[in-house]
Amino acid sequence: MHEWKVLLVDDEEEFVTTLAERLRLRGIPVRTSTDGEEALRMIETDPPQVVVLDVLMPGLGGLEVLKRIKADFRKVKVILLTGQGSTWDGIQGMRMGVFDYLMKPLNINELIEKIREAMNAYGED
Amino acid sequence: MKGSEAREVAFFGRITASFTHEVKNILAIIKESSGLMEDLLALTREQPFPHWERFSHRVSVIQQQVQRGVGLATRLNRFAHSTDEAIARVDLNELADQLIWLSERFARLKEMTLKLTPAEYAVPLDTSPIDLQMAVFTLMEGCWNQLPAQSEVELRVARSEGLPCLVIACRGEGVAFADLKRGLEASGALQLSADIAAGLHGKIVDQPEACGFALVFSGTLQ
Repeated sequence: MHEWKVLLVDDEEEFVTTLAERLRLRGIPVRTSTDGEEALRMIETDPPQVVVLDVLMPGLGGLEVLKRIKADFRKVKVILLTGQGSTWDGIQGMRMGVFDYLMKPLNINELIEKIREAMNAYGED
Repeated sequence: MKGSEAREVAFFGRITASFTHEVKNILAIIKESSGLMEDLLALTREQPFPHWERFSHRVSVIQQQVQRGVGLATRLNRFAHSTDEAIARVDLNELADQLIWLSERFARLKEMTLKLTPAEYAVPLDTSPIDLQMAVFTLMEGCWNQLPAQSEVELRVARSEGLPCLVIACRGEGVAFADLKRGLEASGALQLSADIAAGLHGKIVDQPEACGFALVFSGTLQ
């Protein structure tokens, strides 16, 4: 099993810092970013196994970040967060190769389970 | 719908969809914050904290209300997105589920109970989602305005002779179909709903045995 490296990316700072704190309380080491460009730099410097990525962000949006991850960091597993009432973004993301998607607001146990599955899939690659 | 009206509805939908998205972001922050409070409370379970139970209860109340808000914001977001395309394919089961959610408050103020009975199969229809919802809501509202308190309005999804249909069935003390229909005619709700349905290749058919009406769609919009 690899050492867990998870990156949370969401432009809502309160959301991302609180969620990170909850994950850390459960023993999952997490880094955070509130910006798509910054997230890509962080991935380049120290690639995580799993990126939890919000779809709608100002500047570089989640789907664009996803496209670049898939082009340059193929092994990294991406879990997409969508806040839309419909599942359209999630389906779009699945077509672009995301590991899975979740609707916001999240269920923390469901998120941890998805991260765990993504970590296992990362190990199998 | 005229071109200018369609543009106005689409604009209204776009703004509402954007705001409901933002509301969900706010609810997500409240949910995670209350979740963190719950996590921290769990860590202090064994330590002396005189108001532990009261705090814990309040956190669970916050979480229940967040769930309620998320449900409403999600449905309102979908409703707003139903103006995205003038004509789109809808599943009548999903549309009926959404309408029941959006109608709950109206019905509650009239002391009505709403019931949804989906079909056990998908019932797709190419139509104007916003007009269809307006036709069904108008008919349901017309019904509960005629019914005594504590009645039930059921929205049933079905096929009638192979055609997609939505049945509105009413149950209540002393409720008779003839009175219900008379009341709906007098209020203008029956005619208004019929006019909207006609634009969707739909018609209203009396269902005296169900004490209600069926909206039956004989064709799809292109």
